[in-house]
Amino acid sequence: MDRNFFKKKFSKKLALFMAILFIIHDIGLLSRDSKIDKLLKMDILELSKIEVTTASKKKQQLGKVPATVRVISNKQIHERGYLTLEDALADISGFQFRNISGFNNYTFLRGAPSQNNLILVLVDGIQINELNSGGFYGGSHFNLDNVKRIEVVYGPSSVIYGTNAVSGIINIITYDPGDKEGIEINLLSGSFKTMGLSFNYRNLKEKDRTGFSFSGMYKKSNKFDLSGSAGDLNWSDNMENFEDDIALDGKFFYKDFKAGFIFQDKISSRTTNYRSEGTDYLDNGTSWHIRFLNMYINHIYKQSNNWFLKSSIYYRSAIVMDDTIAYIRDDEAGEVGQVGYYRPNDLFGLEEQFNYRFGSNLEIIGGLVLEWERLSSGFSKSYSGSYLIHPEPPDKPEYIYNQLLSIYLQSQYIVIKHLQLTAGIRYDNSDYYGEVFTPRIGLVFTRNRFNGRLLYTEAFRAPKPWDYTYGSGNTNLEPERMRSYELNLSHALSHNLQAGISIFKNSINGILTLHENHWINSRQLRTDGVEITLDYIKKRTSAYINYTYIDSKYVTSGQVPEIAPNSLNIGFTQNFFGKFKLNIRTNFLDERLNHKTITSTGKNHVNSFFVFHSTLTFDGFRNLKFQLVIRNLFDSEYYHTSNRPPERYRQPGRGLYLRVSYMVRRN
Amino acid sequence: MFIRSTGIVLISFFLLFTTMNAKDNSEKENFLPEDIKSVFIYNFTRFFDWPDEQSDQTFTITIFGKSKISKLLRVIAEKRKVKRKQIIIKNIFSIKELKSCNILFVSASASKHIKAILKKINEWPVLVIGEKKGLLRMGLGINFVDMDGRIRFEINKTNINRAGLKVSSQLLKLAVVVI
Repeated sequence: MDRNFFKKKFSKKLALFMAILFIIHDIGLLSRDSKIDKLLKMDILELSKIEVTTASKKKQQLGKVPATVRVISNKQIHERGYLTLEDALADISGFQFRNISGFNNYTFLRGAPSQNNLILVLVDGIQINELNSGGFYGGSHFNLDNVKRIEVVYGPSSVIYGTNAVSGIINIITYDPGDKEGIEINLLSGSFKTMGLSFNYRNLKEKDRTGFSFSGMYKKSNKFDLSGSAGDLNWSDNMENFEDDIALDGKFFYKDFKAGFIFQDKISSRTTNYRSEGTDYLDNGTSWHIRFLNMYINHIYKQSNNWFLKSSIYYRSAIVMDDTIAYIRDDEAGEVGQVGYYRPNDLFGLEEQFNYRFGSNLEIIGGLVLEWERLSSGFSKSYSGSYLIHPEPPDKPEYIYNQLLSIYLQSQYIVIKHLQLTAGIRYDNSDYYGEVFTPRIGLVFTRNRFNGRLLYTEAFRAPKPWDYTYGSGNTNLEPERMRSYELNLSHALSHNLQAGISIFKNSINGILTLHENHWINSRQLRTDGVEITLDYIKKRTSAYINYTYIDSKYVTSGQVPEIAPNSLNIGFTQNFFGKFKLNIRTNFLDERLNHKTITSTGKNHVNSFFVFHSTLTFDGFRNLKFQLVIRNLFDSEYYHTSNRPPERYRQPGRGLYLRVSYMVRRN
Repeated sequence: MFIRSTGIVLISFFLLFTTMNAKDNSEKENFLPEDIKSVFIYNFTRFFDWPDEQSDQTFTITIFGKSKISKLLRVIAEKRKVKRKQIIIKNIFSIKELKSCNILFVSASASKHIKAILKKINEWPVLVIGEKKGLLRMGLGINFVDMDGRIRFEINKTNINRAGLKVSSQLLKLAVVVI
């Protein structure tokens, strides 16, 4: 990569962009007066329905973490026609992807590539990263129709969340029983044999303080045609590539108790993990079946506004089911037939969290976590001996048991008016990775329309039990450690326009690397980055631009593969006649270094690309809403990087999807 | 070239739309609990009748203890009237300072004095509003509660009647608890 690429190609545009930021400094103050004016226009019923910032438990937790947080609202999810979690993340700054159009997709945040195990994904605060690998699964198994908002916390957050919260956290918040009460049904149909059905029902009896919500989704798709030449001749003309998803979740409220479950079941082809053309792998009949179940009960004990105690019990299960066909080979000299995999894992946990406010200047949040984890030591496998016959379900694998004790404490102290100091520390003690201390400290300055943060944060990703015994073994393995320095500034330039900039410097030390036949803590990653955001919201129009510059390097080997230095996202939504909404958005990603040279181009990088998407919504016929989503509007041919046998991954061409929603609301 | 021209077109679009709707209002804002509570207090005045209220020249809201609500109520007092009367906002921090008023808001920090407050006002025609769990049964008329991130209110009809106030049945329907 040309070191001056950024300077040559973007410095003038960036200067112009910054100039525009300062020129459009025109409209009045975002003052308390205007808030009161808005509230005074509401009646008591309307006031009762407003969700307040600090009274919400979830928002309160995020607000206490001094970090850059970006939110994708339900409104944005719908008007932009997002079909997957990755679709939504692609439009905010800092994200890059390796979409293999297969059983998983990989998401990289702030220049750190991984197998999805440097980002923690939570649904309503419950971790849903796969227990065995520590990575979350990408794909279509998140029911976005029931998502109230997605909060992305950038940078390390291990002080609150422990292992894997390294590059950031994605917290998916679903609707509560009191939100948009009633029933909603959504139908989806479109290209590549995509079809889906989702529903949700919510009911709250306020006087009894009881309520429940229930939602479900079934979706299936053939993803995209990668057969023959469409897929770079990696697979045959008859290759199979499907994904079937089921998602169910429920919440039950009773006074200060809350219980819930999140169930996700995903079956997909594993064809794209291997090449079938020119190899003995077959590209029909594979089926990767993973099932997640998370259940929880919370109780909040609150005697005054000064303190509360939250108690949680939770159970998590992540199973690669025993009907999984991981791959099929027809190698007469070696493996023949279908290969079955089975990998059950579960975890039981308790968490006690308290929040205490001393006067008006000091607030402390602390917690104790106890977890018991039962992990498969590896995949249990079975072999059919013929590519035409299913294998028997594999036997139960050997289990590894792990106990974890974590204690965390974080305080917020108002040093002087407008300036808040936050400091926190977490202690983890695990059976297999031992003791880890994780500190953080940050200053947050807020005055009128300006907000500034100066942050130092750390995080870790713990090795898994089998990493210590892999090959000849290494009992001295330590967690990978991230250190991050960040300056984040944001300013409301007017009622409608918000600008922000984040400048950060990250380092990950002791990255696990295969050395001879065992793992060692070896590589070091250094990342410098800048994110610039501009958001505009008015009654009928919204628009955004965000730009990210990333310089990510391994200390010993230079530029990090799969990370582009420049990315840009632009989009706008315009409301017409009160019933139509048009959204057009684009993602630009600079060229990326690939793990290997691509035979057809002779280059060791995948090209930069612009891809456009558009969504037209009609919301004006009784309780029905119609939506036409066009992904890859101009049918651009573009590729993602690969660390697998296919040298690069072709991305989906133009796809048309029709969504119809029917809603019956109470009130 | 394609990249550059497309980028310029999109930025132009963005700027066009930002200037097209300069007079619209912003759609989304974050409200704090005190924002909602202060407007609630103002709205409550429409649903109550005070004895001899005709003879009063002003409508007095007293805030007992430190609370951000007092600033917000002053903003409201500049903009609105209650029953065609000017709103007067008073802040007090001790029982000694407590004098007759139409509404008395007892902040969370001052709620430890609630027994003494109620003893002093006895049967004055005052609507007493609190914001701490459990206060409703101690003698308050209205108590704010936090329910799943929303501010709601409970009403003690017995205490309101004892103070000689009349409350509209419409307000009772909107309360989460009525005793």
